[in-house]
Amino acid sequence: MPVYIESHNVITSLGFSTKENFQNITNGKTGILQVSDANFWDNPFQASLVNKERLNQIIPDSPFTHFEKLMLASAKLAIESSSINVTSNDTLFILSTTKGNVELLATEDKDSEKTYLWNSAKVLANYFNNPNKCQVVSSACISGLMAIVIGQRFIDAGLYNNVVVVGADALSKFIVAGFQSFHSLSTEPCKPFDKDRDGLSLGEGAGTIILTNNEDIIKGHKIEVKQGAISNDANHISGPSRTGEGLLIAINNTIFNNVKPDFISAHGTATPYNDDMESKAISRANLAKVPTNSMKGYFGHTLGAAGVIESLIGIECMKNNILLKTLGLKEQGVAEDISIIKENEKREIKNMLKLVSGFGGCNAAALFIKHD
Amino acid sequence: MYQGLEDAMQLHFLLNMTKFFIHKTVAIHNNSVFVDDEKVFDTDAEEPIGSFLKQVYKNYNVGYSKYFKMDRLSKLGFLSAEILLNNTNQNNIETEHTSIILVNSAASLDTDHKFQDTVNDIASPAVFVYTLANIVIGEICIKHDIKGETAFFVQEIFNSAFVSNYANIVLSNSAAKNCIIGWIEVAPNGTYNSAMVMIKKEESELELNEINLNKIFN
Repeated sequence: MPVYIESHNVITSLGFSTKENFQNITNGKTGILQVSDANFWDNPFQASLVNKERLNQIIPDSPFTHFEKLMLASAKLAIESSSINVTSNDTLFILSTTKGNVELLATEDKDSEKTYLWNSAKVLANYFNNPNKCQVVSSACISGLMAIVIGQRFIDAGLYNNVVVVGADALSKFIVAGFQSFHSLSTEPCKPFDKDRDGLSLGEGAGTIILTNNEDIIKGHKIEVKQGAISNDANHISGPSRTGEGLLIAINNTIFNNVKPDFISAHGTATPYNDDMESKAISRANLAKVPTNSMKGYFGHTLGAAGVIESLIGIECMKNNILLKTLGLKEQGVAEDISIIKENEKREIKNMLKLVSGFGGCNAAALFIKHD
Repeated sequence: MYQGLEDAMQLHFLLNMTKFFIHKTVAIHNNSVFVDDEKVFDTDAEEPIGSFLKQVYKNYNVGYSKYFKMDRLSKLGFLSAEILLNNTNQNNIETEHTSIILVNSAASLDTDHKFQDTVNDIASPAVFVYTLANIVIGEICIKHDIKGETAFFVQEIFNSAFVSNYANIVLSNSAAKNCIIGWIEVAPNGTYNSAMVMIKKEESELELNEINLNKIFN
Protein backbone atom coordinates (compact mmCIF):
# COMPACT_ATOMS: atom_id res chain seq x y z
CA MET A 1 0.00 0.00 0.00
CA PRO A 2 1.67 3.27 -1.09
CA VAL A 3 2.35 5.76 1.69
CA TYR A 4 2.34 9.47 0.91
CA ILE A 5 3.37 12.67 2.65
CA GLU A 6 0.24 14.69 3.31
CA SER A 7 1.50 17.61 5.39
CA HIS A 8 4.74 18.76 6.96
CA ASN A 9 6.60 21.40 8.90
CA VAL A 10 10.20 22.33 9.67
CA ILE A 11 11.35 24.56 12.53
CA THR A 12 15.01 25.57 12.69
CA SER A 13 16.99 28.78 13.06
CA LEU A 14 16.05 29.42 9.42
CA GLY A 15 12.31 29.55 9.91
CA PHE A 16 9.05 28.08 11.11
CA SER A 17 7.77 26.35 7.99
CA THR A 18 9.27 23.98 5.44
CA LYS A 19 8.85 26.71 2.84
CA GLU A 20 10.59 29.43 4.86
CA ASN A 21 13.49 27.09 5.61
CA PHE A 22 13.71 25.99 1.98
CA GLN A 23 13.75 29.59 0.71
CA ASN A 24 16.50 30.62 3.10
CA ILE A 25 18.52 27.53 2.21
CA THR A 26 18.03 28.15 -1.52
CA ASN A 27 19.37 31.67 -0.93
CA GLY A 28 22.47 30.21 0.73
CA LYS A 29 21.72 31.48 4.23
CA THR A 30 23.06 29.74 7.30
CA GLY A 31 21.48 29.80 10.74
CA ILE A 32 24.72 28.75 12.42
CA LEU A 33 26.06 31.61 14.52
CA GLN A 34 28.56 32.16 17.26
CA VAL A 35 26.69 31.62 20.53
CA SER A 36 27.97 33.34 23.66
CA ASP A 37 25.64 32.10 26.38
CA ALA A 38 26.89 30.50 29.57
CA ASN A 39 23.61 28.59 29.83
CA PHE A 40 25.01 26.46 27.02
CA TRP A 41 28.75 26.73 27.36
CA ASP A 42 31.26 28.99 29.12
CA ASN A 43 33.09 29.87 25.92
CA PRO A 44 31.59 30.99 22.60
CA PHE A 45 30.77 28.16 20.19
CA GLN A 46 28.99 27.71 16.84
CA ALA A 47 25.36 26.57 16.88
CA SER A 48 21.99 27.00 15.24
CA LEU A 49 19.22 28.07 17.64
CA VAL A 50 15.48 28.47 17.19
CA ASN A 51 13.98 31.94 17.79
CA LYS A 52 12.24 31.64 21.16
CA GLU A 53 9.95 34.65 20.68
CA ARG A 54 8.46 33.21 17.51
CA LEU A 55 8.19 29.81 19.15
CA ASN A 56 6.28 31.31 22.09
CA GLN A 57 3.84 32.91 19.69
CA ILE A 58 2.89 29.47 18.38
CA ILE A 59 2.66 27.78 21.80
CA PRO A 60 1.91 30.78 24.07
CA ASP A 61 1.47 31.07 27.87
CA SER A 62 2.16 27.42 28.32
CA PRO A 63 3.59 25.19 31.03
CA PHE A 64 5.71 23.45 28.42
CA THR A 65 9.50 23.22 28.32
CA HIS A 66 11.50 24.56 25.37
CA PHE A 67 11.84 21.05 23.94
CA GLU A 68 8.12 20.39 24.30
CA LYS A 69 7.33 23.70 22.59
CA LEU A 70 9.54 22.73 19.63
CA MET A 71 7.81 19.37 19.33
CA LEU A 72 4.29 20.78 19.78
CA ALA A 73 4.78 23.82 17.55
CA SER A 74 6.04 21.76 14.63
CA ALA A 75 3.24 19.22 14.97
CA LYS A 76 0.64 21.99 15.38
CA LEU A 77 1.72 23.82 12.23
CA ALA A 78 1.77 20.60 10.19
CA ILE A 79 -1.62 19.51 11.52
CA GLU A 80 -3.18 22.92 10.82
CA SER A 81 -2.56 22.47 7.13
CA SER A 82 -3.53 18.79 7.11
CA SER A 83 -6.92 17.25 6.41
CA ILE A 84 -6.40 14.04 8.40
CA ASN A 85 -8.21 13.53 11.69
CA VAL A 86 -5.53 13.37 14.39
CA THR A 87 -8.10 12.53 17.10
CA SER A 88 -8.98 9.29 15.33
CA ASN A 89 -7.64 5.92 16.43
CA ASP A 90 -6.46 5.17 12.89
CA THR A 91 -3.81 7.89 13.37
CA LEU A 92 -0.61 7.06 15.25
CA PHE A 93 1.92 9.60 16.57
CA ILE A 94 5.62 8.72 16.61
CA LEU A 95 8.09 10.96 18.42
CA SER A 96 11.75 10.88 17.47
CA THR A 97 14.16 12.41 19.95
CA THR A 98 17.54 11.60 21.41
CA LYS A 99 17.51 13.70 24.58
CA GLY A 100 13.99 15.14 25.05
CA ASN A 101 13.82 17.21 28.25
CA VAL A 102 17.39 16.45 29.34
CA GLU A 103 17.87 20.14 30.22
CA LEU A 104 15.67 19.46 33.28
CA LEU A 105 18.45 17.35 34.82
CA ALA A 106 20.15 20.63 35.74
CA THR A 107 17.04 21.91 37.55
CA GLU A 108 14.97 21.02 40.61
CA ASP A 109 12.77 18.98 38.24
CA LYS A 110 15.61 16.52 37.69
CA ASP A 111 13.71 13.60 39.18
CA SER A 112 10.35 14.47 37.65
CA GLU A 113 8.44 12.29 35.21
CA LYS A 114 9.07 14.98 32.60
CA THR A 115 12.61 13.66 32.18
CA TYR A 116 11.21 10.41 30.74
CA LEU A 117 10.85 10.35 26.97
CA TRP A 118 7.54 8.48 27.13
CA ASN A 119 6.18 11.39 29.13
CA SER A 120 7.06 13.76 26.29
CA ALA A 121 5.21 11.37 23.96
CA LYS A 122 2.16 11.57 26.24
CA VAL A 123 2.34 15.36 26.18
CA LEU A 124 2.35 15.22 22.37
CA ALA A 125 -0.57 12.80 21.97
CA ASN A 126 -2.62 14.53 24.68
CA TYR A 127 -2.12 17.97 23.16
CA PHE A 128 -3.77 16.78 19.95
CA ASN A 129 -6.29 14.46 21.66
CA ASN A 130 -4.96 11.38 19.92
CA PRO A 131 -6.21 8.18 21.60
CA ASN A 132 -3.25 5.92 20.73
CA LYS A 133 -0.05 5.48 22.69
CA CYS A 134 2.48 7.77 21.02
CA GLN A 135 5.65 5.76 20.28
CA VAL A 136 9.15 7.08 21.00
CA VAL A 137 12.05 6.12 18.74
CA SER A 138 15.39 6.86 20.38
CA SER A 139 18.16 5.42 18.23
CA ALA A 140 20.66 8.29 18.29
CA CYS A 141 20.98 10.34 15.11
CA ILE A 142 19.07 7.91 12.90
CA SER A 143 15.91 8.30 15.01
CA GLY A 144 14.15 10.79 12.69
CA LEU A 145 14.54 8.80 9.47
CA MET A 146 13.79 5.60 11.34
CA ALA A 147 10.52 7.08 12.64
CA ILE A 148 9.52 7.85 9.03
CA VAL A 149 10.41 4.31 7.95
CA ILE A 150 8.45 2.83 10.88
CA GLY A 151 5.47 5.03 10.05
CA GLN A 152 5.59 3.89 6.43
CA ARG A 153 5.75 0.24 7.52
CA PHE A 154 2.84 0.52 9.95
CA ILE A 155 0.61 2.07 7.29
CA ASP A 156 1.81 -0.41 4.67
CA ALA A 157 0.95 -3.28 7.03
CA GLY A 158 -2.59 -1.93 7.38
CA LEU A 159 -2.28 -1.12 11.08
CA TYR A 160 -2.99 2.62 10.76
CA ASN A 161 -4.18 4.89 7.97
CA ASN A 162 -2.14 7.90 9.09
CA VAL A 163 1.06 8.43 11.05
CA VAL A 164 2.25 11.78 12.40
CA VAL A 165 6.05 11.65 12.74
CA VAL A 166 7.50 14.40 14.93
CA GLY A 167 11.26 14.73 15.37
CA ALA A 168 12.62 17.21 17.90
CA ASP A 169 15.70 17.95 19.96
CA ALA A 170 16.60 21.10 21.88
CA LEU A 171 20.10 22.35 22.55
CA SER A 172 21.25 22.25 26.17
CA LYS A 173 24.45 22.48 28.15
CA PHE A 174 24.29 18.69 28.54
CA ILE A 175 24.54 18.18 24.77
CA VAL A 176 27.13 20.91 24.18
CA ALA A 177 29.31 19.58 27.00
CA GLY A 178 29.07 16.08 25.57
CA PHE A 179 30.14 16.99 22.07
CA GLN A 180 32.82 19.32 23.46
CA SER A 181 34.18 16.41 25.50
CA PHE A 182 34.46 14.44 22.27
CA HIS A 183 36.28 17.38 20.62
CA SER A 184 33.82 16.98 17.78
CA LEU A 185 32.57 20.58 17.48
CA SER A 186 33.97 22.75 14.70
CA THR A 187 35.30 26.17 15.67
CA GLU A 188 33.60 27.60 12.55
CA PRO A 189 30.27 26.75 10.89
CA CYS A 190 30.72 23.11 9.87
CA LYS A 191 32.22 22.18 6.49
CA PRO A 192 30.68 18.89 5.30
CA PHE A 193 32.81 16.79 2.92
CA ASP A 194 35.51 19.51 2.87
CA LYS A 195 39.17 18.57 3.05
CA ASP A 196 39.53 20.89 6.07
CA ARG A 197 36.38 19.78 7.89
CA ASP A 198 37.03 19.64 11.61
CA GLY A 199 33.77 18.71 13.26
CA LEU A 200 30.08 19.34 13.45
CA SER A 201 27.91 22.30 14.38
CA LEU A 202 25.04 21.59 16.75
CA GLY A 203 21.53 22.69 15.94
CA GLU A 204 18.13 22.48 17.51
CA GLY A 205 14.90 22.07 15.69
CA ALA A 206 11.79 20.08 14.99
CA GLY A 207 10.22 18.53 11.95
CA THR A 208 6.86 16.90 11.32
CA ILE A 209 5.81 14.59 8.50
CA ILE A 210 2.21 13.42 8.26
CA LEU A 211 1.98 10.13 6.37
CA THR A 212 -1.21 8.71 4.89
CA ASN A 213 -2.45 5.96 2.60
CA ASN A 214 -5.25 8.24 1.35
CA GLU A 215 -4.01 9.36 -2.06
CA ASP A 216 -7.10 11.52 -2.61
CA ILE A 217 -6.25 14.07 0.07
CA ILE A 218 -2.75 14.88 -1.23
CA LYS A 219 -2.41 18.42 -2.52
CA GLY A 220 0.18 19.14 -5.22
CA HIS A 221 3.01 16.71 -5.97
CA LYS A 222 2.53 13.23 -4.58
CA ILE A 223 5.64 12.26 -2.63
CA GLU A 224 5.73 8.59 -1.70
CA VAL A 225 7.84 7.17 1.11
CA LYS A 226 8.77 4.06 -0.85
CA GLN A 227 10.77 2.10 1.67
CA GLY A 228 13.67 2.20 4.05
CA ALA A 229 16.16 -0.01 5.83
CA ILE A 230 18.20 0.03 9.01
CA SER A 231 21.49 -1.71 9.76
CA ASN A 232 24.23 -1.89 12.33
CA ASP A 233 28.01 -1.63 11.80
CA ALA A 234 28.83 -3.98 14.69
CA ASN A 235 32.10 -2.12 14.83
CA HIS A 236 32.36 0.70 17.39
CA ILE A 237 29.92 2.49 19.71
CA SER A 238 31.09 6.04 19.03
CA GLY A 239 32.88 5.84 15.69
CA PRO A 240 31.51 4.92 12.27
CA SER A 241 32.65 1.86 10.40
CA ARG A 242 35.93 2.44 8.54
CA THR A 243 34.60 0.62 5.50
CA GLY A 244 31.04 1.93 5.25
CA GLU A 245 29.81 -1.68 5.41
CA GLY A 246 26.81 -0.99 7.67
CA LEU A 247 25.52 1.95 5.67
CA LEU A 248 26.08 -0.02 2.46
CA ILE A 249 23.79 -2.77 3.81
CA ALA A 250 21.10 -0.16 4.55
CA ILE A 251 21.46 1.36 1.06
CA ASN A 252 21.34 -2.02 -0.66
CA ASN A 253 18.26 -3.04 1.31
CA THR A 254 16.55 0.23 0.36
CA ILE A 255 17.25 0.54 -3.37
CA PHE A 256 17.20 -2.53 -5.50
CA ASN A 257 16.17 -3.52 -9.03
CA ASN A 258 18.97 -1.21 -10.15
CA VAL A 259 17.02 1.91 -9.21
CA LYS A 260 19.44 4.84 -9.29
CA PRO A 261 18.39 7.75 -7.12
CA ASP A 262 18.50 11.18 -8.79
CA PHE A 263 19.86 12.72 -5.64
CA ILE A 264 21.29 11.69 -2.25
CA SER A 265 20.68 13.72 0.89
CA ALA A 266 23.60 12.53 2.99
CA HIS A 267 24.14 12.69 6.74
CA GLY A 268 27.33 14.75 6.17
CA THR A 269 28.02 15.80 9.75
CA ALA A 270 31.42 17.28 8.80
CA THR A 271 33.32 15.12 11.25
CA PRO A 272 36.36 13.60 9.55
CA TYR A 273 35.25 9.98 10.09
CA ASN A 274 31.55 10.26 9.24
CA ASP A 275 32.02 11.94 5.88
CA ASP A 276 34.78 9.53 4.85
CA MET A 277 32.62 6.57 5.83
CA GLU A 278 29.64 7.89 3.88
CA SER A 279 31.77 8.48 0.79
CA LYS A 280 32.92 4.85 0.97
CA ALA A 281 29.39 3.48 1.35
CA ILE A 282 28.04 5.65 -1.49
CA SER A 283 30.93 4.66 -3.73
CA ARG A 284 30.61 0.96 -2.90
CA ALA A 285 26.89 1.17 -3.76
CA ASN A 286 27.89 2.45 -7.24
CA LEU A 287 26.31 5.81 -6.50
CA ALA A 288 29.47 7.93 -6.73
CA LYS A 289 28.05 9.83 -9.73
CA VAL A 290 24.76 10.68 -8.02
CA PRO A 291 24.59 14.34 -6.88
CA THR A 292 24.90 14.35 -3.08
CA ASN A 293 24.63 17.08 -0.48
CA SER A 294 24.61 17.68 3.26
CA MET A 295 22.25 20.15 4.95
CA LYS A 296 24.34 20.49 8.13
CA GLY A 297 25.97 23.77 7.01
CA TYR A 298 22.55 25.49 6.99
CA PHE A 299 21.11 24.57 10.39
CA GLY A 300 23.66 22.27 12.03
CA HIS A 301 23.13 18.75 13.31
CA THR A 302 19.63 18.66 14.76
CA LEU A 303 20.13 15.15 16.25
CA GLY A 304 16.79 13.32 16.65
CA ALA A 305 15.08 15.83 14.34
CA ALA A 306 17.73 15.64 11.61
CA GLY A 307 16.23 12.76 9.62
CA VAL A 308 12.82 14.41 9.50
CA ILE A 309 14.01 17.96 8.76
CA GLU A 310 16.55 16.94 6.12
CA SER A 311 14.12 14.58 4.39
CA LEU A 312 11.64 17.45 4.13
CA ILE A 313 14.17 19.87 2.66
CA GLY A 314 15.16 17.16 0.18
CA ILE A 315 11.49 16.68 -0.73
CA GLU A 316 11.20 20.42 -1.44
CA CYS A 317 14.19 19.97 -3.76
CA MET A 318 12.28 17.20 -5.56
CA LYS A 319 9.16 19.35 -5.87
CA ASN A 320 11.14 22.35 -7.13
CA ASN A 321 13.61 20.33 -9.23
CA ILE A 322 16.66 21.90 -7.70
CA LEU A 323 19.89 20.46 -6.34
CA LEU A 324 21.14 22.51 -3.38
CA LYS A 325 24.78 23.10 -2.67
CA THR A 326 26.56 21.80 0.42
CA LEU A 327 27.07 25.01 2.38
CA GLY A 328 30.48 25.24 4.04
CA LEU A 329 32.21 23.11 1.42
CA LYS A 330 35.13 24.83 -0.33
CA GLU A 331 37.31 22.00 -1.51
CA GLN A 332 36.09 18.43 -1.43
CA GLY A 333 38.28 16.01 0.46
CA VAL A 334 36.81 12.66 1.41
CA ALA A 335 38.08 9.12 1.02
CA GLU A 336 36.12 8.35 -2.15
CA ASP A 337 35.45 10.71 -5.04
CA ILE A 338 31.69 11.12 -4.80
CA SER A 339 29.61 13.87 -6.45
CA ILE A 340 29.10 16.51 -3.78
CA ILE A 341 26.89 19.37 -4.99
CA LYS A 342 28.87 22.62 -4.91
CA GLU A 343 26.43 25.05 -6.57
CA ASN A 344 22.64 25.17 -6.73
CA GLU A 345 21.45 23.66 -10.00
CA LYS A 346 18.04 23.19 -11.59
CA ARG A 347 17.51 19.58 -12.53
CA GLU A 348 14.61 17.14 -12.77
CA ILE A 349 14.53 15.09 -9.56
CA LYS A 350 12.13 12.16 -9.38
CA ASN A 351 13.51 10.37 -6.36
CA MET A 352 15.79 10.89 -3.42
CA LEU A 353 17.83 8.60 -1.21
CA LYS A 354 18.17 9.89 2.36
CA LEU A 355 21.00 8.58 4.55
CA VAL A 356 21.75 8.89 8.26
CA SER A 357 24.19 7.25 10.66
CA GLY A 358 24.62 7.48 14.40
CA PHE A 359 26.36 6.46 17.60
CA GLY A 360 25.85 2.84 18.49
CA GLY A 361 26.84 1.91 14.92
CA CYS A 362 23.35 2.44 13.51
CA ASN A 363 22.58 3.45 9.91
CA ALA A 364 19.35 4.10 8.04
CA ALA A 365 18.39 4.78 4.45
CA ALA A 366 15.06 5.64 2.85
CA LEU A 367 13.85 6.19 -0.69
CA PHE A 368 11.33 8.93 -1.55
CA ILE A 369 9.63 9.01 -4.96
CA LYS A 370 7.82 11.90 -6.67
CA HIS A 371 4.69 11.05 -8.67
CA ASP A 372 3.12 13.52 -11.08
CA MET B 1 -13.90 0.26 22.02
CA TYR B 2 -10.43 1.20 20.84
CA GLN B 3 -9.05 -2.05 22.15
CA GLY B 4 -11.57 -4.03 20.08
CA LEU B 5 -10.71 -2.16 16.96
CA GLU B 6 -6.99 -2.49 17.55
CA ASP B 7 -7.41 -6.24 18.06
CA ALA B 8 -9.37 -6.50 14.84
CA MET B 9 -6.70 -4.56 12.99
CA GLN B 10 -3.97 -6.72 14.39
CA LEU B 11 -5.82 -9.87 13.48
CA HIS B 12 -6.30 -8.65 9.93
CA PHE B 13 -2.62 -7.82 9.81
CA LEU B 14 -1.38 -11.09 11.27
CA LEU B 15 -3.50 -13.20 8.95
CA ASN B 16 -1.47 -11.85 6.07
CA MET B 17 1.86 -12.60 7.64
CA THR B 18 4.19 -15.53 7.99
CA LYS B 19 4.23 -16.73 11.57
CA PHE B 20 7.25 -16.41 13.83
CA PHE B 21 8.03 -18.12 17.11
CA ILE B 22 9.57 -17.41 20.50
CA HIS B 23 12.49 -19.72 21.22
CA LYS B 24 14.17 -18.80 24.43
CA THR B 25 13.58 -16.43 27.28
CA VAL B 26 16.13 -14.84 29.57
CA ALA B 27 15.01 -12.72 32.50
CA ILE B 28 17.15 -10.93 35.07
CA HIS B 29 15.55 -9.38 38.13
CA ASN B 30 15.73 -9.49 41.94
CA ASN B 31 19.38 -10.53 41.66
CA SER B 32 18.37 -13.73 39.88
CA VAL B 33 18.81 -15.02 36.34
CA PHE B 34 16.05 -17.07 34.75
CA VAL B 35 16.23 -19.05 31.51
CA ASP B 36 12.87 -20.20 30.19
CA ASP B 37 11.35 -19.45 33.60
CA GLU B 38 13.87 -21.59 35.44
CA LYS B 39 16.16 -19.89 37.94
CA VAL B 40 19.74 -20.60 36.89
CA PHE B 41 21.68 -18.15 39.05
CA ASP B 42 21.15 -15.87 41.99
CA THR B 43 22.96 -13.88 44.65
CA ASP B 44 22.03 -12.21 47.91
CA ALA B 45 18.96 -10.09 47.23
CA GLU B 46 20.49 -7.16 49.11
CA GLU B 47 23.43 -6.85 46.77
CA PRO B 48 23.45 -3.68 44.62
CA ILE B 49 23.11 -4.01 40.84
CA GLY B 50 26.81 -3.38 40.12
CA SER B 51 28.20 -6.25 42.15
CA PHE B 52 25.32 -8.54 41.19
CA LEU B 53 26.05 -8.04 37.48
CA LYS B 54 29.75 -8.64 38.12
CA GLN B 55 28.89 -12.01 39.64
CA VAL B 56 26.74 -12.88 36.65
CA TYR B 57 29.65 -11.92 34.39
CA LYS B 58 32.00 -14.17 36.36
CA ASN B 59 29.51 -17.02 36.56
CA TYR B 60 29.18 -17.14 32.78
CA ASN B 61 32.94 -16.77 32.13
CA VAL B 62 32.28 -13.97 29.69
CA GLY B 63 35.88 -12.72 29.43
CA TYR B 64 35.27 -9.53 27.48
CA SER B 65 37.38 -6.57 28.51
CA LYS B 66 35.07 -3.96 26.94
CA TYR B 67 32.44 -5.00 29.48
CA PHE B 68 34.15 -3.04 32.24
CA LYS B 69 33.80 0.33 30.53
CA MET B 70 30.08 -0.09 29.88
CA ASP B 71 27.41 1.71 31.90
CA ARG B 72 24.89 -0.25 33.94
CA LEU B 73 22.25 -0.31 31.21
CA SER B 74 24.70 -1.71 28.66
CA LYS B 75 26.04 -4.26 31.17
CA LEU B 76 22.53 -5.54 31.88
CA GLY B 77 21.63 -5.72 28.18
CA PHE B 78 24.96 -7.23 27.24
CA LEU B 79 24.73 -10.00 29.86
CA SER B 80 21.12 -10.74 28.94
CA ALA B 81 22.23 -11.19 25.32
CA GLU B 82 25.23 -13.31 26.34
CA ILE B 83 22.95 -15.73 28.16
CA LEU B 84 20.36 -15.67 25.37
CA LEU B 85 22.85 -16.30 22.58
CA ASN B 86 25.61 -18.38 24.08
CA ASN B 87 24.62 -20.50 26.90
CA THR B 88 22.29 -23.31 25.91
CA ASN B 89 21.33 -25.45 22.97
CA GLN B 90 20.90 -22.36 20.84
CA ASN B 91 21.40 -23.35 17.23
CA ASN B 92 23.95 -21.19 15.56
CA ILE B 93 22.10 -18.13 14.42
CA GLU B 94 23.05 -16.09 11.41
CA THR B 95 24.10 -12.99 13.27
CA GLU B 96 24.42 -10.92 10.11
CA HIS B 97 20.70 -11.41 9.60
CA THR B 98 19.64 -10.96 13.20
CA SER B 99 17.62 -7.95 14.31
CA ILE B 100 17.39 -6.38 17.74
CA ILE B 101 14.42 -4.48 19.14
CA LEU B 102 14.97 -3.14 22.65
CA VAL B 103 12.55 -1.21 24.81
CA ASN B 104 12.66 0.46 28.19
CA SER B 105 11.13 3.24 30.22
CA ALA B 106 14.09 5.26 31.50
CA ALA B 107 16.08 5.35 28.25
CA SER B 108 19.64 6.25 29.39
CA LEU B 109 18.52 8.40 32.36
CA ASP B 110 20.73 6.44 34.79
CA THR B 111 23.85 7.59 32.94
CA ASP B 112 22.32 10.95 31.97
CA HIS B 113 22.28 11.88 35.67
CA LYS B 114 25.89 10.79 36.05
CA PHE B 115 26.94 12.84 33.03
CA GLN B 116 24.94 15.87 34.20
CA ASP B 117 26.93 15.83 37.44
CA THR B 118 30.14 16.35 35.42
CA VAL B 119 28.84 18.96 32.98
CA ASN B 120 30.03 21.95 35.01
CA ASP B 121 33.35 20.33 35.79
CA ILE B 122 35.23 18.07 33.39
CA ALA B 123 32.75 16.30 31.15
CA SER B 124 33.78 12.76 30.30
CA PRO B 125 33.41 11.49 26.72
CA ALA B 126 33.50 7.92 28.07
CA VAL B 127 30.35 8.68 30.07
CA PHE B 128 28.69 10.83 27.39
CA VAL B 129 28.62 8.06 24.81
CA TYR B 130 26.36 6.04 27.11
CA THR B 131 23.81 8.86 27.31
CA LEU B 132 22.10 7.35 24.28
CA ALA B 133 19.67 4.53 24.98
CA ASN B 134 20.60 2.60 21.84
CA ILE B 135 24.28 2.19 22.79
CA VAL B 136 23.40 -1.06 24.56
CA ILE B 137 22.29 -2.39 21.15
CA GLY B 138 25.62 -1.31 19.67
CA GLU B 139 27.49 -3.21 22.40
CA ILE B 140 25.51 -6.40 21.71
CA CYS B 141 26.00 -6.02 17.94
CA ILE B 142 29.78 -5.62 18.32
CA LYS B 143 30.10 -8.70 20.52
CA HIS B 144 28.00 -10.94 18.29
CA ASP B 145 28.66 -9.34 14.87
CA ILE B 146 24.96 -8.54 14.48
CA LYS B 147 24.33 -6.31 11.45
CA GLY B 148 20.57 -6.52 11.02
CA GLU B 149 17.88 -3.96 11.75
CA THR B 150 18.09 -2.50 15.22
CA ALA B 151 15.64 -0.23 17.03
CA PHE B 152 15.25 1.29 20.46
CA PHE B 153 11.81 2.35 21.70
CA VAL B 154 10.91 4.10 24.95
CA GLN B 155 7.62 3.04 26.53
CA GLU B 156 6.18 3.62 30.02
CA ILE B 157 5.39 -0.08 30.23
CA PHE B 158 6.19 -2.73 27.63
CA ASN B 159 3.68 -2.34 24.79
CA SER B 160 3.23 -5.94 23.63
CA ALA B 161 0.91 -5.07 20.75
CA PHE B 162 3.29 -2.52 19.27
CA VAL B 163 6.42 -4.63 19.71
CA SER B 164 4.77 -7.77 18.36
CA ASN B 165 3.56 -5.88 15.29
CA TYR B 166 6.91 -4.24 14.70
CA ALA B 167 8.88 -7.48 15.10
CA ASN B 168 6.52 -9.16 12.65
CA ILE B 169 7.06 -6.35 10.16
CA VAL B 170 10.85 -6.44 10.54
CA LEU B 171 10.99 -10.21 10.12
CA SER B 172 8.65 -10.13 7.12
CA ASN B 173 10.06 -7.14 5.26
CA SER B 174 13.77 -7.05 5.87
CA ALA B 175 16.61 -9.44 5.38
CA ALA B 176 16.26 -10.46 9.04
CA LYS B 177 15.97 -14.14 9.82
CA ASN B 178 15.93 -13.87 13.62
CA CYS B 179 15.00 -11.13 15.97
CA ILE B 180 15.93 -10.44 19.57
CA ILE B 181 13.28 -8.60 21.56
CA GLY B 182 14.20 -7.21 24.95
CA TRP B 183 13.18 -4.98 27.81
CA ILE B 184 16.34 -3.59 29.45
CA GLU B 185 15.68 -1.16 32.28
CA VAL B 186 18.00 0.51 34.77
CA ALA B 187 16.32 3.34 36.65
CA PRO B 188 18.42 6.22 38.04
CA ASN B 189 18.00 4.78 41.54
CA GLY B 190 19.61 1.49 40.44
CA THR B 191 16.47 -0.65 40.32
CA TYR B 192 16.64 -2.83 37.26
CA ASN B 193 15.05 -5.66 35.34
CA SER B 194 15.47 -7.28 31.97
CA ALA B 195 13.76 -9.83 29.79
CA MET B 196 14.93 -10.98 26.39
CA VAL B 197 13.62 -13.46 23.87
CA MET B 198 14.82 -14.95 20.60
CA ILE B 199 12.34 -15.00 17.71
CA LYS B 200 12.80 -17.39 14.80
CA LYS B 201 10.87 -18.70 11.83
CA GLU B 202 11.39 -22.23 13.08
CA GLU B 203 8.31 -23.42 14.97
CA SER B 204 8.08 -23.62 18.73
CA GLU B 205 5.21 -23.88 21.21
CA LEU B 206 5.07 -20.10 21.55
CA GLU B 207 3.98 -18.03 18.61
CA LEU B 208 5.16 -14.42 18.39
CA ASN B 209 2.05 -12.42 19.21
CA GLU B 210 0.79 -9.81 21.62
CA ILE B 211 -0.61 -12.29 24.12
CA ASN B 212 2.57 -14.35 24.40
CA LEU B 213 4.81 -11.28 24.61
CA ASN B 214 2.54 -9.89 27.29
CA LYS B 215 2.99 -13.05 29.38
CA ILE B 216 6.76 -12.71 29.20
CA PHE B 217 7.20 -8.95 29.47
CA ASN B 218 4.38 -7.75 31.73
